[in-house]
Amino acid sequence: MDQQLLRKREAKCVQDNPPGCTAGCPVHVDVRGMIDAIRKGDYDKGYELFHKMVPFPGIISRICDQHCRTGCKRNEIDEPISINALEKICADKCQNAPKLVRPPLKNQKVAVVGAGLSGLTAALELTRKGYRIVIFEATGRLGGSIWNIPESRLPRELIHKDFAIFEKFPVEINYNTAIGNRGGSIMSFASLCENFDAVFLGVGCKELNSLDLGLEQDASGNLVIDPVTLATSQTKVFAGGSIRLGCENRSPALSISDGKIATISIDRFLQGVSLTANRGKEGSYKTSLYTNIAGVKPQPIVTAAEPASGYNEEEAAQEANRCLSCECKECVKACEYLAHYRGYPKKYAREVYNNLSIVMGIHHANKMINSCSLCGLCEHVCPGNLNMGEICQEARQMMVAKGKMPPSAHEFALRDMQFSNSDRFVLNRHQPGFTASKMVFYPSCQLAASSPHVIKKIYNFLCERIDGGVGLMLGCCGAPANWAGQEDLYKETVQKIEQDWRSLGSPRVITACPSCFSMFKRNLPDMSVEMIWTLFDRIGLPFSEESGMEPKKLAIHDSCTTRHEDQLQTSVRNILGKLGHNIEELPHNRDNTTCCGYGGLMIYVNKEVAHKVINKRIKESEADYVTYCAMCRDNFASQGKRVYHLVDMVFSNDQDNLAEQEVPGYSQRQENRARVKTSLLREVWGETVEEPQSDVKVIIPPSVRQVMDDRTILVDDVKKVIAHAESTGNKLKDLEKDQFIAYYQPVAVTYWVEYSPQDDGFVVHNAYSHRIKITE
Amino acid sequence: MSNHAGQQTVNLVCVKCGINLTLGKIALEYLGSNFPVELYK
Repeated sequence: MDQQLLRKREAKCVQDNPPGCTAGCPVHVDVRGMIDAIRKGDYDKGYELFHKMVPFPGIISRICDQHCRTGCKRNEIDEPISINALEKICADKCQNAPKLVRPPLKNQKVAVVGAGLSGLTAALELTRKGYRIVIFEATGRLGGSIWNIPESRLPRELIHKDFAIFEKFPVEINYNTAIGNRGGSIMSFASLCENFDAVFLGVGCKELNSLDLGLEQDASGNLVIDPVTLATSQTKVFAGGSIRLGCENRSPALSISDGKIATISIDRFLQGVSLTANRGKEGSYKTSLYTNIAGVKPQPIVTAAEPASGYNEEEAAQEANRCLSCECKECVKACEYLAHYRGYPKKYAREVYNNLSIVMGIHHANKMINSCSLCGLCEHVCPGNLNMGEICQEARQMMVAKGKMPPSAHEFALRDMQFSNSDRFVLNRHQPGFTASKMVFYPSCQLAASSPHVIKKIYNFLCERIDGGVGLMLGCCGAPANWAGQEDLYKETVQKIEQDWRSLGSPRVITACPSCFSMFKRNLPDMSVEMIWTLFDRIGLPFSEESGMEPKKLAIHDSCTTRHEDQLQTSVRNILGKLGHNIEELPHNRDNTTCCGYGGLMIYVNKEVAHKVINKRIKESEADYVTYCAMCRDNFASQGKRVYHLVDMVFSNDQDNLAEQEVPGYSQRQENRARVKTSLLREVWGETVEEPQSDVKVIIPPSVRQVMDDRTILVDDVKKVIAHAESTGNKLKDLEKDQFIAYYQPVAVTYWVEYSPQDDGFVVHNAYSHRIKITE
Repeated sequence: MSNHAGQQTVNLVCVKCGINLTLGKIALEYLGSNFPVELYK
């Protein structure tokens, strides 16, 4: 993943963009943060955030013209937050003002002409950058036109308090010192420019000709000022404030903003760097932060009981609570995986990139990369359509290619896939009595593992209804390899499937698994593929006596792999309707559906996150659920949800208590697949199949079976350990427990088993495994 | 494994040679890194 691609992808995530209030504020006060502090009663923090961007907080807290309110999201619901009133209470209640830092002085001198808000802001900001500042003010006081504001609105002690800051910095202030041709001028503007390295002109609404500036003016007589840099026609002279805004458009916030913009320009000018590079986000702008306001109810603005005093603490807290704390996080709200890591995709994308880039050190993001279900919900809900699954899957592929994928992440799922694509399960046949197939049934490894009893019933039904022969293909579609980032293994798996399918004459594939359907559709372009549900919706259902089930209300869970399969989802609903059931739509359904915790091999990599995903989903409705994917059904059932697989409802009898069917463990799943193959060969093709005989008979109590499943240890692994120990004598005896302990490493994993002989077999007491090798 | 090592004594006997396991230095290897540890052997 190169930097350019990373930037392109992370730019889709808008979460880092400021809320509308901050973007609308010409000096970008962190209003959201300030209001959050007020909610907590932390006025010092609120003041700190306000003062960080506003050099004269006492004054501005009384006279700000609130450009922030035009960007407030509440404008779309009721009234914007009363931000200035909240700033005022921060300024009034603050007990500990932030400390000032005096930087080392530089040699360059800057003249500030005019001590209004823009000039004083420029003077203060440039001082903070270490420049030597000399202020020339024509009157006998600082502040310019703010003195025209009535004292009832702007108490004079606030002006004095804010301007006292100049006593703490080495700023030279020349009062009653006019520049230009005005009466009493001590210096021409041209002389001033000669004596200083840069000049900021903030003289307010003045008749320009009287100043004899020698700067370019437009046809209306206004000074020509670059709107981005505030540069004038003379190289070292910058101008802003009311001289730029005009007397009719005075704005305290914009004047302060001009002072800050001019500071950046003067600093760049004096450092000899570009005045114009990367200056897009200065002053007011419109944010691209998306905030979902669906369901937000109108709330009237809080009015102060005593308007002259402003909000009291209670009123301020009430008004602060009206703030929506704008943020996007649409994907984080929808996805437990994204919420688990306490960030958002822009941050995650950067972590993934860093994880891939480091050569030495700990790869902190490995587990995060491998935990994503790749379900695509984030892309669907993201205003910029950023897909974290795409990033994670690509990262997995790169980790595999570089040999940096931890073997523990996907090894068990890949071994399970290997089993399903071994001779124990794979079968490719035409229908008995046919030499060609019009269609071929591909039930999937997971349906065979979860509901082995229905495979033959579906196959027989298809054979009855479809003319021209229905073949059968047993195997795994390769999804685990695809999700694990094992590109070579996946390609090899798909090629083998394609070869087997072509050997049957390339018939139309009918599958009972949404993952197989999705994998074939995306990666085998020549293959015509359909799920049984769209087919059954067309050709009708097998309404046999035993398929009857009392009509009930069922909530449908659409599998994430069917997110964009509208027709399939509709067919499933049609079938449930034909079966007489009432359908409840879950809040997340169809193209907005969630994963069940299996996608992307999440459940193997990160059980904690998978269980969060499952539990969030199963709590969306009290109703029994119905799914059309074996793994969705099993994952929900494993956490205690009553859930049906649609295939069981059509082909089984509800006397079997289908919604509470036990979920088979990993060993049982493999056993079920193998039995599906042998029973089909015997019962459909009439072949004699010999069962493989196990040398070792084991008795495993249910509690130990659960431990083995949690540790992904198969019965077969345990048998191998005991067989090895008993044939070689390499075992330990625990004299206290009177049990044997033995280990065996068939391939990469070392398995340990604690067991004791019983009759003609062995009782298993415990099993564990590790990948660490004992070298000496 | 660490639990085993943390115990003062273990009552494990090698079935083949009838000798009690005692603490000893062994080398473990994982993903190309080696870890010398003391375990019963």
